Amino acid sequence: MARLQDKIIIITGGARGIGAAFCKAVAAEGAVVIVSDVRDGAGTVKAIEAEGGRAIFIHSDVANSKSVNDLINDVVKRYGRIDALVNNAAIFANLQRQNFFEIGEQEWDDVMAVNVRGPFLLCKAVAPVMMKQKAGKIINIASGTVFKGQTGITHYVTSKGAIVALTRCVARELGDYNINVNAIAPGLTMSEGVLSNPQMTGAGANATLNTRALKREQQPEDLTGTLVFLCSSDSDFMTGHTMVVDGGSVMR
Amino acid sequence: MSKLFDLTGKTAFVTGAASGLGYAMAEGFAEHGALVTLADANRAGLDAAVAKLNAAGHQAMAVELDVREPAAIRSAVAGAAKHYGKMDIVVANAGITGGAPISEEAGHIENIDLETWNNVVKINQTGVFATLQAAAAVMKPQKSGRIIVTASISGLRTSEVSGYPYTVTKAAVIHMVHLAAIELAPYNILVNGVAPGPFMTNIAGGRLFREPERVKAMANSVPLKRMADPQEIKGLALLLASGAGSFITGQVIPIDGGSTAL
Ligand SMILES: NC(=O)c1ccc[n+]([C@@H]2O[C@H](COP(=O)([O-])OP(=O)(O)OC[C@H]3O[C@@H](n4cnc5c(N)ncnc54)[C@H](O)[C@@H]3O)[C@@H](O)[C@H]2O)c1
Ligand SMILES: NC(=O)c1ccc[n+]([C@@H]2O[C@H](COP(=O)([O-])OP(=O)(O)OC[C@H]3O[C@@H](n4cnc5c(N)ncnc54)[C@H](O)[C@@H]3O)[C@@H](O)[C@H]2O)c1
Repeated sequence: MARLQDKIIIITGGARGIGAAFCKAVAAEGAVVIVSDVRDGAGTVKAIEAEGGRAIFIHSDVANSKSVNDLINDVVKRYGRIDALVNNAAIFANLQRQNFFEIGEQEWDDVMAVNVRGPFLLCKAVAPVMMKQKAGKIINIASGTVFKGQTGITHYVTSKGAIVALTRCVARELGDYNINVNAIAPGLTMSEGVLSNPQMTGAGANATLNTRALKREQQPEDLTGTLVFLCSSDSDFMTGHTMVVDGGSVMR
Repeated sequence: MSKLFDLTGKTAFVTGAASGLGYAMAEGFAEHGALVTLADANRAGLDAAVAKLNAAGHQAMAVELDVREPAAIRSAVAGAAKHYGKMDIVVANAGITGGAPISEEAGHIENIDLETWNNVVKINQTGVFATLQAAAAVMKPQKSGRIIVTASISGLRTSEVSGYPYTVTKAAVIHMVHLAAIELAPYNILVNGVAPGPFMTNIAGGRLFREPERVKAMANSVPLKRMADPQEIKGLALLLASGAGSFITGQVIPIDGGSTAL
């Protein structure tokens, strides 16, 4: 039995990496997936269709309110509702490591615009739709680095800390409307983006791996069970929580 | 269709399974194909629970035991493992409230008698420890397993409506989860906890069903503005017991309608 049969689910940053794995996983559970990204998402859509799943690609820049509103309006026009929104798009895998005092103002602002303003704008745009439905699921992708204070990417870690906070606040404000808002905090995951950045692999990755109870690399597929759970009615009494999925590095 | 949450052929052992959350978890596992062993001190409740599962076409067995007796838990888990040839999932769930909250006179520190304290520690803390010992004894040699502990949001956050014995024992098992997760990871044993908020169960001698005013106040304090049905624990337990949760360990996950928002 499919767990997300006919659910309308938007996943931002779905063109590659963890987002693409999320798209495939919810499609495999019967959902209709809206793959959204600034990058072309045709590959994700094709992979889903090849497995008999349903998906469309809608280009959208999460940092831009017009683009976000267009995305939400387009989905409502096509399907009449939105069952789940997954805020996965972020500036991450391409970042270069540097001390916090070396991070330029522009780079800081760019990270905040995509990683914090993006999910905020999407929550804001989808809220009236879900409030009217009196049902909905919002899943924000945070990061385990928040709980560790990972060095070298302070703008990123700070932005993900904001996601944990955003998740709590929005959960409380939307609780009355039967809308669940939760986050997932992954550990370092071997997404395409991470694999293509030498600073994210090698010695640094090994050090991270050694902080885990389960000493192996994390793959995007290690996150899909939790995402499916949070998109489904199985998580109806959970809200405001950030679930750490990282092989037991951060324990809460 | 994916097999992410499938438990076909897996074996599970749940304490406190005659009622409430324990029963729901056992039923949820069985609905996904697991062979379940229900352990509880309440013989009549146990028999009814197992009969209900078997009537629904599931495979369930009963073991009457009191979690205050570590030897009984050890032999029950070992016995079920021997019967099925393995033990994949153990849930240390049996627990009681006990001791009034600090908002009431009877819950003030000088009024908690040590008999009450010791009894709650025996069930909620030592009972969980003994269940983990029993689980590890069979899972270490098989080099796989999932352990789930039922904690409580009372173990995460204290408040006026918490009582000493309950809150402290629930906090203790949260540390137990973290420690066991580290120790048992090399054996491919994942250890996690669930921290429920208010669920409509028979806890506290069925008080929730007798005191609608109290329940209304509890429900209103939850961001989702309601109590949970025991059925709603099933999905989280399944995540932690199945392939879907294969990289989750050492986590204590609130399922509380947003009360803690951790
Ligand atoms: N990979 C990891 O180790 C890891 C760990 C913790 C958290 N995360 C988080 O998981 C998510 C996915 O990570 P990933 O490793 O797949 O990263 P990635 O960089 O490969 O993927 C992010 C996707 O988001 C898209 N994107 C970027 N800016 C966008 C914008 N303005 N609008 C729309 N789409 C945009 C990118 O095009 C890309 O497809 C991110 O939120 C990331 O922070 C990743
Ligand atoms: N119901 C809630 O709101 C809530 C909230 C947080 C945590 N919990 C926890 O959930 C767990 C299950 O409680 P529930 O709410 O389902 O209550 P419940 O009373 O409905 O079920 C508890 C079961 O445990 C059994 N039990 C009690 N003491 C035992 C002993 N010494 N040995 C063996 N079995 C014993 C009882 O017979 C009963 O069948 C407990 O650990 C409880 O602390 C419940």
